Amino acid sequence: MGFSTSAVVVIFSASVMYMASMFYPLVDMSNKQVQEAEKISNELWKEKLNTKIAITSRVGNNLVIFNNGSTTLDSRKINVFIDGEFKSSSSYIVSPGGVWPPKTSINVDIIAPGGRVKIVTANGAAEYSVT
Amino acid sequence: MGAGASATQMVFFIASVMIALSVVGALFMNVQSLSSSVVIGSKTLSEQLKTDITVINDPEIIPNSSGIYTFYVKNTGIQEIGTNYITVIIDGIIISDNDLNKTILEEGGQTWLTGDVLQINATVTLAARDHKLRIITRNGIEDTFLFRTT
Repeated sequence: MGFSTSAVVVIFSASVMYMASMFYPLVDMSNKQVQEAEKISNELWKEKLNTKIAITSRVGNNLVIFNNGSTTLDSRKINVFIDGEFKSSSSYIVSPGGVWPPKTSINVDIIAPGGRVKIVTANGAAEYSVT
Repeated sequence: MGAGASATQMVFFIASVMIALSVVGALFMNVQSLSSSVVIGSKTLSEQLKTDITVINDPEIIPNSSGIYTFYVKNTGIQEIGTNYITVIIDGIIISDNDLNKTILEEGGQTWLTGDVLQINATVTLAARDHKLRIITRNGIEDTFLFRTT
């Protein structure tokens, strides 16, 4: 009887240790994956909340857009709507293209400007200009 | 007595080992199932956290051609999104897939990458008033957009 109990205790102990060694790394990996995603999500929200643009001038086909937030944007990734219609990137010229630091401006030359223009940044922040 | 006691002990030993192995087997199955659920659950949650979409239309002027309204949705997260299971709800009514035409602008394909704009053409009849659009991705992330038709 005593030997049977010992055998059962050994089987249970070995199994529990084996299962714990299988389960813990998976839970740890999953937890790290979620923590990393939470960090990215918070980062995206922070960037979104700190993004603000303003159209400071509109003369003819040219718009000057000021990065009034504290997030560095990418001027190549803006989208332009004219009178509600999405315009492809071949319909306007952005200069300078690329990194758009805070408190700096970019020029957007629209080939066929309309009355109502909407500029959207990569993270969805937008500004309107109406003539 | 000696031989009988040994046989009894042997029977008890074998029975206890078999019961213990059965219990351990059942426990192991449950732990495996739990592990798989944890892995799948965390993968889904992390995908949801990395997914974000934004309807970027001009709410004042929604392009409309013969009852086909065009909506533009931008992938503002960092997760690729499949366009097959995008749900479009206007004023609380789900628009059937047959009445939707989805195109990824400038890039094409079926995978909606970060920064890409998805054009959704919806064939619907909308009265001239305010409307509420909800776009929902496969993993449940949504954006709501209020607009006006004239």
